[in-house]
Amino acid sequence: MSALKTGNPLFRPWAVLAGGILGLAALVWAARIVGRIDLHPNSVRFHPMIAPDSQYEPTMAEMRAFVRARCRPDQILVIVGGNSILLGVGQPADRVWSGKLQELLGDRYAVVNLAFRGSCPTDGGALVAESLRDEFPRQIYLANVAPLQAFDTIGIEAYRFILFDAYYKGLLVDWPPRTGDIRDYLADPPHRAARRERDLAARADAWLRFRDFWNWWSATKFFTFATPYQPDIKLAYKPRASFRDQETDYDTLPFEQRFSPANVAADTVIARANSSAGYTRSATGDWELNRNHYDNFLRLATRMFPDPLKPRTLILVGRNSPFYTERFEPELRERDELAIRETILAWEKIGCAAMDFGPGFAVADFGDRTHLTTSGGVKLAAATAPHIRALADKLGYLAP
Amino acid sequence: MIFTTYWFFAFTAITLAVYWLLPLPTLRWWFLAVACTVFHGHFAGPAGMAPILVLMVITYAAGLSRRRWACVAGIVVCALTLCFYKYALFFIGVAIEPVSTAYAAQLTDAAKKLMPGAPPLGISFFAFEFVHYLYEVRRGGDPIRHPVKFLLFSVFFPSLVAGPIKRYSQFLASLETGCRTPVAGNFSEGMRRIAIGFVKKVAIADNLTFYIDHHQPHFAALGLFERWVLVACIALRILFDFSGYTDIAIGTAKLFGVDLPENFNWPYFARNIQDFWQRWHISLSSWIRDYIYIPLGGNRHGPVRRVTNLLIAFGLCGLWHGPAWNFVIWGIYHGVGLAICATYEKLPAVGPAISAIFKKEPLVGWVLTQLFVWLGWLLFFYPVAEALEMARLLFGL
Amino acid sequence: MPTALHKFWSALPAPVAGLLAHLGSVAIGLFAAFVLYYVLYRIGLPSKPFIYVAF
Repeated sequence: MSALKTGNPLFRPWAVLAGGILGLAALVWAARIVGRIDLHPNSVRFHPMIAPDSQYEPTMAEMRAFVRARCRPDQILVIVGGNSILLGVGQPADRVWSGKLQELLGDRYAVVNLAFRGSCPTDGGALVAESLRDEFPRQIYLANVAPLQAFDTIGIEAYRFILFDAYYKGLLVDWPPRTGDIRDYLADPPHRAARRERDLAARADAWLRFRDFWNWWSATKFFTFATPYQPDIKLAYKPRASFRDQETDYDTLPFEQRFSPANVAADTVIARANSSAGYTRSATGDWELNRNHYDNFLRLATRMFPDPLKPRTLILVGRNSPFYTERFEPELRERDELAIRETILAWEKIGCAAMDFGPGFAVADFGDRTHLTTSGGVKLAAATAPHIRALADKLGYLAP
Repeated sequence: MIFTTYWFFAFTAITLAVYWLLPLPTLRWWFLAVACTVFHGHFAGPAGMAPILVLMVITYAAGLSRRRWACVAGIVVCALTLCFYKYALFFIGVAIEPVSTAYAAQLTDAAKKLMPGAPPLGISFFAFEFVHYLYEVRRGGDPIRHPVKFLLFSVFFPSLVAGPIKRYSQFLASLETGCRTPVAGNFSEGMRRIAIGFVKKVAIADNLTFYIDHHQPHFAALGLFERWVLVACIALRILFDFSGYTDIAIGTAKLFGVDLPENFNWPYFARNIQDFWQRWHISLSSWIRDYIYIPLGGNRHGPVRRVTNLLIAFGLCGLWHGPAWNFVIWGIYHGVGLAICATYEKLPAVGPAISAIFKKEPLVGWVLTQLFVWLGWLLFFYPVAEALEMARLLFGL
Repeated sequence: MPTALHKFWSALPAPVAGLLAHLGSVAIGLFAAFVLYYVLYRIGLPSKPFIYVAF
């Protein structure tokens, strides 16, 4: 088609089309290159400015590069998954508990924090660990749960982008319960259109890798839109890698602010109900396991992780702050202890390792009902390190 | 927004590929008609498709009959359908509720039982296109005989949701020519246009939206300059958002070899209100002119009738944008502006003097026009009281 | 096309004008690909920040 026919001497249609195809090919190629770069060399975890909290969705490639930059092939990889408790909310970056864990474990191990706020044990970090099972066969995955608590194989909605990213790039073990859950999730009639969108996005990205490219751009060049999470217009478009981890330091927040009357009232209700669903009072006044609840928990927990990955999974069963539990009646504390023991036994029965989270923690070790202060993080690291070493030994990671 | 979904991208890519791989033009527009129906069904659902299917059958049959009474009846049915789905609750609130709250509640319940959750997809556009079609056929235009071509005119997917409002004879001519051979120029122009549309919408308009949403609630606390910056952002946002969407629609149609009418022509360069409405949402303003203003008498019956017709036409134009008083007032506001623009020169002494100033200093006309238009956007986007308060604050009053 | 640009364009030797036109057109194509690539990324992002509410 000549320029004369279009009336515009500057326009050559075939050249435009060629430019389009070349451009797309070049971008896909560039995405594959930048997808291997560690975009967050100065970060110890995915803090809010590089997490969905601020509409930034880290990709699988990005998180895998994050891991590779922090773990040598000769090291035993320890990936910390789970939620804000293991993310270290309340602990500043230079004093985060996973850093202390690294210190205690030494250079033979590499501890990488891939926990996310509100995330499930099957989200984010779990999927990254799974995807690196061949590259880092000597690996341990940590995540936290509450007593008698289990989750879907497909995690929560906010982090499902990671699951789909991994799934369509063929990075995951074939695990029929999870495949079935994905199918059911996509087919659920009230949400089908929105979920199909997510599905299509992940399929397109598996080919075109646009998320890897634009996350690289957003992290290193400039962010392309403003997010309500960062209301300062002057900072809205700054590259995300330039934001420092500014997690709240609970040690600097006054106790009265963290344990305000309103917070205490609400959290007391939650803390008292911690293990209530799992137990009923028998005629003799003893706590009896609620079989329905337990069976349901066990069924869900068995499906959570693919069988080949269960042995290297360490579940941390959490506790509430003694600020609350010390005010409970003895029978409530007894119920919680029973629930923790039962949960550990259940996870071990399923094939995972499990540990108790926090006997011996003081009020000062908690910043609120569940999150730990720096001192609490140090205790957590000290409690966890021996379990990791024992698990590594059991799995044969320590053999010369 | 439908264009910013992966389903739209996947649908367009697959439909485009199949369309041009089909060997015959006839097969192509048959296939396109099926694809457009699938598109409509995906986003509208069965409840949303029913009104357009019924109106399509009525309009097609009325047009084929070429009978005046059938065309008029068809126009009335289309208008009533639009009024029912889009304005029934508004009218009940305005006309019935002040008289009897109980009766209004009964009517509202009855209306809601008949309606889907939201007005049927694209009803504002296809109702207007059907009215246009029947009006032109009634005036002697050739009806569309082939039902599949009529289906395509009704549910052509690039323009279904947000226009531009098509004229049937131009659309069909373009379709019949465009579907014959793939032309590299159409693909490249379509790609270019779609890219420009997305830049306007996603890169510019969405960022302006953040700025506006962040600052508008604190309008009174802003400095005078920041307030005007915010108003400029509001004006630019609507332009980039809407014209971006139109670019995507026009570009997508172009990929199929179809030309859709242009909807924007640098509206913020307009030097008077009349010029503005020849540059802004052109397909709507020309529809209002041809099917409301001119049938009412236009400017053929003296200045008083002309002003009245302008106010009615643009009041309805405002109402078309949404079932709320601020849209009606915005429409009437522009009607007043157009009326002044059409008649000020006839004011004794003052009129010619003002006209001379505009001719000598076109910049004055441009500034006044943009001021008028940009202040008008406050009425469009915010409740009337809030808009007036913002206007007052803009002038430091 | 603006008059000044048209004059400039007409004054160019044909091969140069042709080359510039092709390069310009390729640039337009690259731009379109870049935009499409961005849009595919942008429309998949959440419309709001994820606000985690502890329970």
